[in-house]
Amino acid sequence: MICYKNQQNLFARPKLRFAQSRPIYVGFLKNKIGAMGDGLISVIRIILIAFIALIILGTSAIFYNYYIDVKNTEAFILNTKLVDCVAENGIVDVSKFSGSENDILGYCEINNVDRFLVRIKVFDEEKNEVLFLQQGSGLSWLIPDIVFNGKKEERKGLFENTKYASGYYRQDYGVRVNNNGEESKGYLAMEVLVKHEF
Amino acid sequence: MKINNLKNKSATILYQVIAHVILIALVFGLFFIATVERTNSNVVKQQVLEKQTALLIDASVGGMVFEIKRSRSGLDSDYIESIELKDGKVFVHVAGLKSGKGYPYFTKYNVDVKLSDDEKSFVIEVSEK
Repeated sequence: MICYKNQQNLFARPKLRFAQSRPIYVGFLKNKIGAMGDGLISVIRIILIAFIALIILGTSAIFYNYYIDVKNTEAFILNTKLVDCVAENGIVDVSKFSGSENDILGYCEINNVDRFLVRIKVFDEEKNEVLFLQQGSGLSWLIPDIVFNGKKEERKGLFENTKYASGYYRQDYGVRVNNNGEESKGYLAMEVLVKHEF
Repeated sequence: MKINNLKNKSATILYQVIAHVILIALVFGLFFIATVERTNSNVVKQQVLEKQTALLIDASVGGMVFEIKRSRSGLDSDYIESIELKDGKVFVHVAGLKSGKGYPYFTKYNVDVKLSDDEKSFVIEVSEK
């Protein structure tokens, strides 16, 4: 800015006479104000960090739901129980199950059947199907048929690794089949699906 | 003089940084401990006990008897106050935490729960109908 001789510079900073006479005092004040500002910034920074920590860990603590999945074990236990029931002493008597084809769990006196889907097929020596038992029909079987594809190793897709994933166990057992009085070697294929408990 | 001032300034900044780091570590440490406490809480113990008991009942055959100790460590924190069987479900009440949902079991046998004579464990009896 250009200032002429008798013209007052309106934009010039006013001279601090007090400050000029006591420069140490002003310097001290400036330092103190600066220190206060630094302290304030530090406090704000710590509050901000605490807030971020609270959000990260607090949210994870609230929504962290430790879930122990025992549905596969349940499917295995149910599978063994049903084999003992259907093939008593290792013999499947086909005539015993007439009328219980769709109520095999009731036949074996299993409780809380709503969660279970069971499919049992019995084959004779020539691999002809001589008995078909099933409970939990309809859309429910789409889960093992499509998602599991009938194989435990191919559990992929829908609800995999979540608490809503179903437990599944499939096993073939060598049995003797009694079909209308004729006893022969055969095998029993059993699939058990256990739905979540929620 | 100038060098001394610079030295003082850098020392102050260093102290500030150290103080910040300690405070931040404390804050995160506290929240981390709180999270760990939650994951090891009674809710998890209750879930484990309910599911283990339900599986034991399912796998048992008539005539089997098994015992569940009320406290493994002897501390109040994992003390089992009660085990109930209701509507085909196992409910375990751990250290002041009442069970809400329970866990279902499917056995065909009669199951009975009672407290042992010395009240140190629960005895679960599985018997034929």
